[in-house]
Parts: sequence; C-alpha cells; structure tokens
Amino acid sequence: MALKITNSCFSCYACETVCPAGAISIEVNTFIINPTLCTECDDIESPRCIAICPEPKAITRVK
Amino acid sequence: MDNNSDTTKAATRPSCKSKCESDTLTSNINLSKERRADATPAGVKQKVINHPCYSNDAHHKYARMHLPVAPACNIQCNYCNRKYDCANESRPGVVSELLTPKQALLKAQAVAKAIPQLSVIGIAGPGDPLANPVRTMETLALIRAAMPDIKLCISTNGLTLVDHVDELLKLGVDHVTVTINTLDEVIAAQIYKWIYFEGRRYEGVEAGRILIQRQMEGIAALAKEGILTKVNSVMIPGINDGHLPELSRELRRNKVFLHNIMPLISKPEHGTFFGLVGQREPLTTELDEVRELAGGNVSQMKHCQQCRADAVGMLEEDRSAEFSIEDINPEPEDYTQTMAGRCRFQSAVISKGVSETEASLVVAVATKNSEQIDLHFGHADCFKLYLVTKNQHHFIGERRITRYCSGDNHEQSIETNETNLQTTIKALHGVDLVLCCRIGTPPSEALAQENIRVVIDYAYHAIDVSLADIYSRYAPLAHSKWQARQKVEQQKVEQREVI
Repeated sequence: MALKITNSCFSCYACETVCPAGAISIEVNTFIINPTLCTECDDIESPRCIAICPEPKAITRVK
Repeated sequence: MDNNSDTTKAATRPSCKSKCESDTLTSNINLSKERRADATPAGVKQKVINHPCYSNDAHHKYARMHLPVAPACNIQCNYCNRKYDCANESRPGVVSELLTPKQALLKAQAVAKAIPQLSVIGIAGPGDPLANPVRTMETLALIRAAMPDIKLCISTNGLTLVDHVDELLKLGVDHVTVTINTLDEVIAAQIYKWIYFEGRRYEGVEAGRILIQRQMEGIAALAKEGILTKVNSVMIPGINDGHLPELSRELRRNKVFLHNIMPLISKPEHGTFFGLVGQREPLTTELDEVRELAGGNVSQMKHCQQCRADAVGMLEEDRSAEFSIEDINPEPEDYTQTMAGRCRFQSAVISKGVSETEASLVVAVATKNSEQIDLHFGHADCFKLYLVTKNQHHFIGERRITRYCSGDNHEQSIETNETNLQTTIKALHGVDLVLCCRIGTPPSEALAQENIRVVIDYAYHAIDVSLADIYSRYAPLAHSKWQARQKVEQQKVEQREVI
C-alpha cells in the first residue's frame, strides 16, 4: 500500500504532522512517503495526509 | 512568489529525537501544580503594559517578534493561501525561512540583544501553531527556559486550542489570540473551505459547527485559567460584516479582553479563494463603523499591522530580513548579560530617562495577585520587577522561572530543587533587592552570594506602599551601585579614547 507526494507539494509539513505511521519524511528538500510504513490509514475512511493536505493534487495513490 | 516553496523545503525536519526532547523540556518547566494565571485588575494591567499588540501605548515603546516554526494548518480559510503566506495574520509576502525550535531560540536571543525593546515573542504561523504542537511547544519551552524576561504569546484559529490550554499555562503563555470570524455556521461555510478534525476533513456547515464549538470551548478554557484572550476577526464585506457586533457581544460574555477587527486582504495576486473570485476588501469607513458598533461590547484594537508570521521589531516596522538564520552566531553570548542590558534599557524608557541620571534600585517582588507581597520565595514562578528611584517607582517587567520548591510535592528531588534554585538565581541577574513574604536558608544564602539582598519585612504589605518606603532604607546601596556603574561607564569611555 502506498501514497505518493507529487511536485505540487509546497512543504507545509501538515501530512508529516498527522501521519500516525511516521511514514512521511523530508529528504533532499522533498517530502516522501515510505511505502513499507504507510498503511493508507486503513483504520479510517481515507488517509489523514490527504484529508489535511491543502494542495489538491499533492498526494496521490500509487497505482 | 513561487520560489517560496524551495526556501520552505530547506528547513530541517524535526526528528523523533526532537519530539522526545520536547516532552522532557516541557515536563521540566514546571513540575509543581500549575497556578492559574493572575487575572486580577493589577495583574491584567501589568500583562498588557508592555505588550505592543494589547496596548495602544505599548506599541510605541516595545517590540515583538514572531517565530516561524509552525508551517502546518488544519483549516483552509478562503482568505488565506499558505502556498505564499497566511493572510490570516500576515501581510502579503512569504515567510522567508522556516525555523526549527533550536534555530528559533538562536534567532530570539540575537533579536533580544539587538532590539532591547523586544518584550514579547509569539508564534503565529505561517500555519497554525497548534496544528504543529510538537514544534510549537518545544519552541515555547526553549524560550521560556532560556529567556526569563520575555512574554510568550500564540495566535491560533482555535480548532485544537481547548486540548492545549493546560500546556500553554504550564509554559507561562499568558496571552492567546484566537481568530474567530463568526458564530454562525452558515456564515462559517462561506469563510472556510474545510477543516481537518480528528483524522478527517469536514466541509460546509458541518465544518463551521465544529470549528465554532471548539473555538468557544477554547476561549472558555482560557478565561477559566486567567489567560488573557484577544480575538481577531477578519471583516469580509457582505459575508460577516453585519454579524461582527453580535460576535463582540458574545466575546464580552466570554471575558475576551480585546477584539481586533481586521480588514480582509484579498488581492488577486495572492491567489486566495476570495482574491480570485473578486471578493472586495472593506472600505476604511466601513471598518471604522463596524469597530465603533463592536466597541460598545469589547475594547477594540485599532493599531494592528496584520504582520507576517516572521515579523521582527516595532509594530510599524519589520526587521526580519536583518536576522536571517545564516547570519546568526550559533554560540550566543550568555543571556544573563543580554537580559541585564535589556533591563537597563527598558528601565530608562519607562522612567523617561530618570534611571540614567539618578541612583535607583531594581526590585523583584514575589506576588500572587500583583498587589501584595504575598508569596514565599520558593513558591514564585514569576517575579515582578520594579525600578525604584528616590521619588518614584515603575513596573518594568517580569522574570519567569520554574518554581524553586513545590510545597505539596514531596517527590521533587533535591537535585531538581538545586537546579531550579540555580536557574532562579540566574534569572534574577541585575536585581538589587528581592521582596517576598518568606524565604528558606539555601536560597537566602545563594542570593547573598550574588549580592542580591532579600527583604521579608514587607510581608503581606501592599507593593505600592512598600516600594514607596524602601528607597529611603536602601539609599546607600543604590548610591554605591550607581557609583560603580558610573565608574564602568567612565572606563568604557576611556577605552574608546585609547582606541
């Protein structure tokens, strides 16, 4: 399972702040989601990072 | 403006380590049971007298700084586009750099040294401070521990405020600004695109209902703890303008101290929803009219500059560009020296120069209610500082400390007591006399070693009366300090002449 942060991201840290799995980090000036840690928040309806992200296309599901 | 994202990305991400350190720092700040903030008339007066955003008089004399440590937000307001900046509390433009809590402390100490008028440090974004609780609380704890003479302040949208009031009280934050634009969920649906609450996104009227309920719970909790509350409202013509007087009535019922109605900023180039759909800004006459109507309920702040989340300096200026983190010395000088210099500067401002031309004493008072000398030295978590000259005395500020001894907590270790005592003595640097109602032997001896005299003769007496009396008793001390200072100044002049 995984989600991906695209280059629409403007680095507001909101996703990193709410991720319960600690799957989001910043590397070389870009936010990334670790696919092995990400659970897509399967405990609730939809991922928390997508719910708080202010930029509509910054976090997408990996097909 | 787009290149802002690069500078934001350059900020270091706080690691798990810093989260753990934050927990330790916060818990170290005050181990004993928190005392409600002093909300007596005298206490409130002293809280606002040197806060430029709360007092029209103070904004000519004191400076503020905002530390940009809080990038995330949990609400999308239609007047804000954080891709560039947060219009909620800021003028158009970008936050030039995000800071980690440790960088924020370095910048704060550099600014406190360069701008002695600095009295208050706040966190106002660029997102919402309480949507970044780890970064915000760690920053507040670092400043509180290192800079005892600084007031702490935050500005929030209020969505998670009620969850953090206890921690804010613990850290000695006694000013909180909450942005409340409406109490009507239908109006709220036109102002907020969405909110993020407990793991999910809410929109429309439902979002408005949750936000308003949480904001009201938040300001009620602040009032209960005696934390001074200011409410900011963005005036949006045709949306909430007619509702603002009603809002101010409700704020009055909730003991809000000050209401700041700010004009909407909606230039299309800022890329906000309101800017893009052509929502107009209010005219000055409309703003004045609404302030006038609301002013019957809560005092109005009219000198707000809607400053940036990294603003530095007096309200009318922004010197943030002078304090880029790259240019700041990572090894700051001992803050006690900076603090003593700031105390002298602020004393001169408050006494209109008298402290520079006459002998004087700096007196620290242990008081619960800001009216009487009614606290044991070891029970004080804040000392009120006064400048006392032959004919007058003035309140000059506070020194916040971790209570040296907590009467009801026998588990507190001897080591912790010792550390707290050392920190307290350091925080009282530059003070000549301490007035308290009682004091134990160890602190009394430690103060004597630092040439600080303790006076308990005025226990439970009014502060005003005691200060009026004390100069005559300690005039020789004031004179010897005065002569020593003159000598130092003279030596400085001679050194400069030699160079």
